[in-house]
Amino acid sequence: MKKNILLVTAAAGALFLGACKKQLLETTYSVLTPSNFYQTAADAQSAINGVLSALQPQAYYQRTIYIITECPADCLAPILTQNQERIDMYKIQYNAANPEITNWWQNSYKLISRANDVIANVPKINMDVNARNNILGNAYFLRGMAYFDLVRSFGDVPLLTKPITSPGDSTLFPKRTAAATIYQQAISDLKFAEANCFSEPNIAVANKGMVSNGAASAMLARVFLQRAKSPYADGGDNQAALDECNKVINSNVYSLMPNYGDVFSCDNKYYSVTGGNKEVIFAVQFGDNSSSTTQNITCRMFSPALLGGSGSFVANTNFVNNGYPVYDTMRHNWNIGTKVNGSAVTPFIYKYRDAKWVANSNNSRVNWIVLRYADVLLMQSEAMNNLNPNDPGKFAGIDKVQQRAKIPLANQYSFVNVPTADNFVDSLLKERQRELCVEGHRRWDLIRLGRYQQIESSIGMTLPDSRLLLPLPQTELDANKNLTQNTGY
Amino acid sequence: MLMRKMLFVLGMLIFLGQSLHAQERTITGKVISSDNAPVAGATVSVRSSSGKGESVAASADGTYRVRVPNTGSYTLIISAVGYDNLEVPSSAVGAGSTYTATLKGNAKGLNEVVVVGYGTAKKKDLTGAVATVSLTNSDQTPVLGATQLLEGTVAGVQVTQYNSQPGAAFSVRIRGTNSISYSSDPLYVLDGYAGADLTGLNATDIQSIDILKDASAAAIYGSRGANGVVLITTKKGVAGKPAVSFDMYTGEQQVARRLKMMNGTQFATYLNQIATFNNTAKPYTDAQIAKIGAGTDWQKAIYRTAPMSNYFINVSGGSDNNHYYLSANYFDQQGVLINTGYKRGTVRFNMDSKISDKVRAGINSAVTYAWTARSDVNSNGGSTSGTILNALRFNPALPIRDSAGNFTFQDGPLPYTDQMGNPVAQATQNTDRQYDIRTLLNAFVEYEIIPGLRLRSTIGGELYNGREEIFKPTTSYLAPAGQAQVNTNNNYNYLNENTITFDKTMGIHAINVVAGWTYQLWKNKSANASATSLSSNAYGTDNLSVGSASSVTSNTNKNNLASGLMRVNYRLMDKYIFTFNMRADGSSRFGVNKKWGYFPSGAFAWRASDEKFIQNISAISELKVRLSYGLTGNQEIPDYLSLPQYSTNTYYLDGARVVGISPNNIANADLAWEQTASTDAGIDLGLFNNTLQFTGDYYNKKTTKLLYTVSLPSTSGFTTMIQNIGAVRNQGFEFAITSTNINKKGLRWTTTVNFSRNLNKILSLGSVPYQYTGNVSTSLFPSGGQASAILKVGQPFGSFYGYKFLGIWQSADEIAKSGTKQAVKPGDPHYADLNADGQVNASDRMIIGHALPKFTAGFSSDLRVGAFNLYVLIQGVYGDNILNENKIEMENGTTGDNKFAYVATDSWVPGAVNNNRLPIVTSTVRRGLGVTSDIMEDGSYARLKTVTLSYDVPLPKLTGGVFKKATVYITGQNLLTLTHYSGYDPEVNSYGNSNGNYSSLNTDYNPYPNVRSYMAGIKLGF
Repeated sequence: MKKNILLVTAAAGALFLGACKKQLLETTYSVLTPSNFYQTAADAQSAINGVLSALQPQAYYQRTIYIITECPADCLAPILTQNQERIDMYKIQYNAANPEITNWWQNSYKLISRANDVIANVPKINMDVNARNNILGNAYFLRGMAYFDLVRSFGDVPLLTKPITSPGDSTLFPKRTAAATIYQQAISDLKFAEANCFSEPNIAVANKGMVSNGAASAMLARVFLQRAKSPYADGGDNQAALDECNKVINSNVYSLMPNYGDVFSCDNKYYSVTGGNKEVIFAVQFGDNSSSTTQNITCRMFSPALLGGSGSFVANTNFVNNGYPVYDTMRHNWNIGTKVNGSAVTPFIYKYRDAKWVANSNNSRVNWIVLRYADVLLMQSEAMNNLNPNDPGKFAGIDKVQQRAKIPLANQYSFVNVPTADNFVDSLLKERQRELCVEGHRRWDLIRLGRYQQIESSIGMTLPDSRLLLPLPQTELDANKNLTQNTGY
Repeated sequence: MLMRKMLFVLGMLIFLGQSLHAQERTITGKVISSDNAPVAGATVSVRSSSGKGESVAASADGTYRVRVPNTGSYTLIISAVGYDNLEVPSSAVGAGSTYTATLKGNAKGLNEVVVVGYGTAKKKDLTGAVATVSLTNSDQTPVLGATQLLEGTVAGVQVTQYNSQPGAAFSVRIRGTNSISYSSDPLYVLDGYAGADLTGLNATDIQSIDILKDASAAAIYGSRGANGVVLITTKKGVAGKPAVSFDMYTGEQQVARRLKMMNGTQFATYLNQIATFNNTAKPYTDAQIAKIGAGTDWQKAIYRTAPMSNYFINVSGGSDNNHYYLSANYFDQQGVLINTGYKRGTVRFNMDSKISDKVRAGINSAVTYAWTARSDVNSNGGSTSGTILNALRFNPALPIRDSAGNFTFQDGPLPYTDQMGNPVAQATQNTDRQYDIRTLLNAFVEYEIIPGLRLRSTIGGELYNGREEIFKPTTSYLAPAGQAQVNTNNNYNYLNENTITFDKTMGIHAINVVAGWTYQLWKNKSANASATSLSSNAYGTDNLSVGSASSVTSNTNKNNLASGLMRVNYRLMDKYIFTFNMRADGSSRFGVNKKWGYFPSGAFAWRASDEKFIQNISAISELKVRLSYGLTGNQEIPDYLSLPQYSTNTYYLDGARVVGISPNNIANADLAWEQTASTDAGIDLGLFNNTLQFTGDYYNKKTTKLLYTVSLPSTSGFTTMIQNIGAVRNQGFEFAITSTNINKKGLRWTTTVNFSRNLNKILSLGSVPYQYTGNVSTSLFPSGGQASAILKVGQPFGSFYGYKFLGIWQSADEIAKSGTKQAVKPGDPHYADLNADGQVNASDRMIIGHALPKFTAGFSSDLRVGAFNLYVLIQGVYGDNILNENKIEMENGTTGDNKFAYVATDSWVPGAVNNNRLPIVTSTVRRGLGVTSDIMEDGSYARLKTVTLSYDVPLPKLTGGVFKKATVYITGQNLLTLTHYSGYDPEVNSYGNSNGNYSSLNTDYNPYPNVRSYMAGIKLGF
């Protein structure tokens, strides 16, 4: 009897511990795991929303974007009393410890890892094929765009196309991959997006803000143009860029807004067949106050104190003094503010405004425009000039942009005032500055068009060749012994 | 309503518990000590030829009532903690119905029973380092929480009250800090219930506290034992007439120390001085200053003398087979800061019942309701936060209210001062209320299979329901947004334990085996909602829809722990004692590859005093040597860390919020517990009839597989990951000496001393040699980003990291000669340029202090003269540093805030001779850099923690026994603190363990000040 009790007890104990095996697997409630995510079309949409969301942080396409692309150039300047990392970017004194360079790197890869997760998991979801390919196309677009940002910023960078799922993953400590391969990856990703993303009119109203096939074409044009002037150029790059521009133009989906300032309107952000904003091709979306969404700090950063901003950035003096000719008033007045309520202030970038912005807050609705139609027209002109400088058709795109800006006919570009291919480069750079200032293009434009060192020296900065590439972040080198630093750092 | 129902049910249980037996006769009597004092709780048991008879416990006045056989011989066995056993043959008892037993004192208390994990053991049989907390005076020492009973009383245990806000918890460290990233708090076991929350526990209900310090003792708690284990046992009823006791105390508390700030005139003069140095217009004219006078003392405006009271009533008793203990307690503490306080009501019911000769069952239960009113302290600074912070920095030249009766908000004159909220407006209008209900219920049944072999099963649960309501009306601050927030938490956990105990003595061999398995599950649910931009203040937190902006979150998580355990204790000739422990813990929290952890330990003890050759040395009355080694673990990490998680975020499409879902981390299937391997060598020595007792231990604990956040290449998409890397060592020694200095009739004096020294050293942080850690307020250091401390291999935890202060730059000449490229002027502080590159920047930082003390010590004295008793407790900490961040704002760094009074007289001024202490008032160099050694202070202190004088009123004699006991006492706490520390109190950590932050230690930034209290109390027994 007693023995039996003991036996039963021991047996119960053994059974109990055996049964625990299953019990000890964790049940989650407030987070999802691979076992209950990526099941439905709604999951696929949530997943792509998550990838897009990676664009929004201040440390990426909300603020870092213009610290990386505009501070080390001639349109924008940080105030010189705080945030040393911005001043270092401006003075071309950045090093591997610069937190903004770290932000740029880390958030690019965060975007890539989220896109990789979608690309790895969405194909197995049972859902409408076109809808699924559209979501995959969005992911491919964002991954291609991020690799393009990385390769033009850092040169050779690690190439990851699959998500990392364990600490033992062989790609956890990657080596750098040749820049030429990164360019190819960006192009093939964008080609996939071009083939699979919905065209803008076919994007459901509720999904306005997602990537269209037109965005993929426009981004491809930008990649080809940039690569054409890089050591990794392919002979067909300029023609490919022109073809992509023409796809966008000939689709007849997009057009210039009649009024320059309307491009940036917070109340008319989206494309609609019957109106809406037909110029913006792709923009990072920011929400409105009180919607529990991410809002854009840019209004606060650029606005002077009198407007309720921090005045952390101002307009570059050179841009203020020499940026606009007297006849270019529409764009000058929209882009550069010099007075607030009649009081003179340090000239500031007034491009990004929001009537509903609460002064002294971060909360503005301003979108960050990545691609717009005016840029495509300017890229068309640039590609044509690269292919055949004598082709008079190369002025067509530029002139449309200048006409919208109400530039007098005599001042619009033609062989009369821009006779040579070289003149064309300088004039194009001026036009791109006037039209696209502080939209995140300037550093790349100056590098691509070969005027970076010249322009920097004109504003008193010295730019050694080594600074054409950014340093890899020190934190990254510390965490990954397989990486090497760029020369000169 | 719930409470009333419970009381009814409890009452029924007591009623049913009564039963009667016959066929025997009853003996009543009293158990007394040799000095005629009653021995409460002595066990009186009967042994006769027919076997074991009844066993009862004497009541508080020593009286007992026991049944003995009518015929035949028997023996009364009387035992009590601290006394030699007394065996009385029936012939000595005689035929009478009363017998008074006199016990002989036995100071060594070797037969004292100590609670160990999953059972009890005689103190003499212990092989591990187990400390028993002396509770002699605990019932006359008002404590704010049960863990306060450990403060200063146990070697190797450091208790710190980081936050003196009423209702706040204490930090307890047993033998140092083991974990870097997670909690180093010990495991609390309440009446066998592991992981119990002690927040609602009423100290008067506690019977005993035992602390398991080494692996031999704690390994039985496996993956939760690494930080030590505190076992608390609550009181039980004893057979006899119902005994009723009533205790109460009441008194008041004051802020122990206020900081001396500038008054109105001084501050206005100071602002003018700054304007003079800066060549700007003076904000005050001489005529204005003349009118200001002392202005407002903002500390006086928000602090008060606050009452504190406690009421306790208890009924206990029972029959031979059923014992019950029922108590109710109400504690009401108002805070010394207005609009703060803590109220707690607890009902406890314990009972046990002998159902048959072989079966016992019982229950321990308690329900607690607590109400906490908090204020915004330990704030991170900024323009709208921190009641105490604002009281320190608000312009004293301004009145509390303006002439129209409205609160002054703008502490002008602008722009000479910062804008901030009025501390009185904040303290009186903002509310932060917490409502908690806690229930702990644990039932057991015990079955004696054969004599010596017992099966015990328990089932119990702990429920917690908490709700916090935070309201800041639109009238509290300058920017009238308002905020209303409700946070709710619903947690429960349940525990089932099944153990078999086997006890057998065969000649010179004695063996005790415990084996069993347990299962525990925790589930937490929380939901938070908040609204801002309130359109009305009328609703408080009762209608969040008045806010135009709101946020809502909710969260649920669960984890469970399944365990198998075993302990074998083998005693050879009662001199050589071996213990072996083993626990296997399976935790859901860990990776699929590491679900189970195994925690063995072994120990040996030699009772040398039982050897002939020691017995011949008359001075030595007790000598035991202990050795142990074992593994314990720490599994206190958040749930789900090992899993690949997807978490939510948001994006914005077509003008509307959409939810996104994205990977949150990299899965780690190998995530496991932290493991501590510890060695302990100890000695227990009793001299001169045990009037002098010494216990000393040396220990060496090496914690490996530290759960540590490692940096990942961000190409993975993530920058950090929790991995088991890193190692920390804690080694040290501790001793306690208890000495009975005088023990005569009517006069007894005992003293105890305890001392602990722990050396903490980080042995490894995986692949990195160091990592910065620790919080600093971003509003204090606008350049931000720099941490306050460093975790560095070879250095202890809590190493402050910053710039070394060398003095004040005295002249332009001195600056020029030094060749520094730093932009400094005479009067600025001079910080060391360690790498001599002419700059003072982040690479010039060094370790400038240590938060962990060199040693801690406690001393207590208990003197009894006749009916009077005087108890004194002194406690101290030596050799630690405190980072006094208040000095950035109130000494030098921020010019527009009010300052310590000494700033007016001690700051450097042009032409000063050798003033090398405080920078010129306009200097912002200190603030611009980050943590510097001139805000680092010595945190050593010695504190007169408790003084209690009590008097046993001879009411029992006067009332003919209606009163069985009557004691009145007065007690003072924190009466005197000797320290060089300049802040409110050296026992401080503004960043506590909040938000999972375990690496910011000894940092002082607008804390709730410590209090000094005076209480008077009475204890009555009926």
